[in-house]
Amino acid sequence: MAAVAHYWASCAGGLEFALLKELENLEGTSIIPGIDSYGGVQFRTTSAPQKVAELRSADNVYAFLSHHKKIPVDKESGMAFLGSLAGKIDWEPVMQLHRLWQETEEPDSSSGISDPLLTINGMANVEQTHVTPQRSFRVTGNRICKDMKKHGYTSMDAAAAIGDGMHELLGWPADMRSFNVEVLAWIIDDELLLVLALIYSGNKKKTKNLQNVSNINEPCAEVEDVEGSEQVKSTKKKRPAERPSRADAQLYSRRPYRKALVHTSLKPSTAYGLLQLADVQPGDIVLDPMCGCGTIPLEAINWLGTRVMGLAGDFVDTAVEAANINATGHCDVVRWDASMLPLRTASIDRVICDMPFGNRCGNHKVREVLCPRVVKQVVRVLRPGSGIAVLMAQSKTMKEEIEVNQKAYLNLQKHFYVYMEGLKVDVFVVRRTSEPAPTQQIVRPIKNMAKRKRDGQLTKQAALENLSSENPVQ
Amino acid sequence: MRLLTHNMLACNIKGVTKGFPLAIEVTKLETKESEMNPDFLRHIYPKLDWKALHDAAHTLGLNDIPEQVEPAMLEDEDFLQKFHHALLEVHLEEGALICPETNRRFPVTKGVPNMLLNEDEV
Repeated sequence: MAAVAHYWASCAGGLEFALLKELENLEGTSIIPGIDSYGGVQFRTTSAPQKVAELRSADNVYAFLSHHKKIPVDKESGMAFLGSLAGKIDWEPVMQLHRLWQETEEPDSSSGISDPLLTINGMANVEQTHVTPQRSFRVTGNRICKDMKKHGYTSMDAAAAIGDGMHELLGWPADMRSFNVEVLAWIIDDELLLVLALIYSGNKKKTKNLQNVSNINEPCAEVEDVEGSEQVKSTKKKRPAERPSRADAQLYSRRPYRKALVHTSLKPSTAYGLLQLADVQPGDIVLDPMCGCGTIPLEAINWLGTRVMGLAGDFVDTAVEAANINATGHCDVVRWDASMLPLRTASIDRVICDMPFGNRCGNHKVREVLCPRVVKQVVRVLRPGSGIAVLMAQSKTMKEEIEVNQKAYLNLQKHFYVYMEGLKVDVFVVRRTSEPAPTQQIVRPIKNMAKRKRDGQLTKQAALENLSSENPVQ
Repeated sequence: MRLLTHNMLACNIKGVTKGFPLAIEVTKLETKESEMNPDFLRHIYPKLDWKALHDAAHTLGLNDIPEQVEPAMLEDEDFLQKFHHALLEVHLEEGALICPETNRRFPVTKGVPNMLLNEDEV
């Protein structure tokens, strides 16, 4: 009989419904409720790792270690508490699960993680005795202050304390660079979630990042302190070329279509969550008018195969290039301006779009003008009566466009929030009413708009004119 | 670019009323085989502008797309294969799409049509 494994699957906060739906179909699985501060789901299952690895809505899966509320946050008792954690965990089933996952993975000599200790002790030891084989390990701490001022310890202190406890109990050597076991400690105020990584090797293909990130502002996260944590996106830090990127050692990074990326590419797991909301039917054309590297339509095809056709379009040449590299299966890529879609009226069944938010578009004002225009186009191209759109964005003007201006054409079915990268983002699920759309709905460009360059930045002359005139930019 | 996509693309220059279908200028075609899904074809058929597909296929040198389709044909394996081939397997890699009203050329490079308009066309 298969052993019961205890997991934590992570996802963007708010998208747990997608994970729960998938877990309904995972044999021998029971959900364990009770952890709500972290994006994800805790569950037990007898299904094999291969099956668990098929979860599309999971950012990543980990072996569950422990969860604590009301932990001490001052230095002395805090550090003592953290040091005592190792002793409260039953390591044997966890390490069995860890080993099972490493065995299931393809052996990858280029993963950069050496494993001399395992070979010395060998597998035979485990069967004969109950002594856990030696492993080198590291602890990665991540600490967030939401409703409190500050912890008496940094995330590095916390990681060190937990690590000391583990070393004392298990005897494994700590090695921050060359490790075969990683424990992650996620602290939010006085709550702690402790998990063990199951995936260590990165994406086998070298992912290319086609957009030069240096001239785009850093996304502003609400995360107050990620000191010591290496779970930052690779765009925030320059990392040495040899080290496998942490972003690559995630379940979602294994999608075969994920070869070329752009700055802040959407996670395939998040894309899947949005697709789940769209009720995609066989024969549907799935459109993403601001596709970036094409994640959404390509996830649709990866999931639904030849039942659908993907249509991915973007404005920026690097995005179009990335999407074209990634495009596989029945997906076409077009270069266009999403605020003026070159598509026939009422020709599209599903629009799923991750609109630019945060600092991605570079210019807040442009975004607030752009998003409502894109909504108008979405209204126009969606098939009346049956079309559905799932739009993810952070835009007041867009909210107004959907709820007020387009009320006759769009039925708002769902509106909720998703929490990702420290940002709170709106998700709208709308169904097209039977009301035929007014043709084109092209907003007559005001004089100033004509003087903008294609990326929305004012030309030098227009900027000077703007300063002297009283014309507000709409 | 596949003919399925071409069947949805339209010229959106300000003031243009007859921007569909776009004429096709072929410089390089490529055939990429893919799995035929009859269910998909039957569902997509009513959504297509068949005349546009027929004419486009003709431009691409595919002459086995009939001008009219009877419902019974959607059960015929032979017809479905030809339909699938024209709709999904033939790719325009290099060439252009031309607006029927203004003759504006939208270039197609590496299979990607560039539909961006100039400032004066907006």
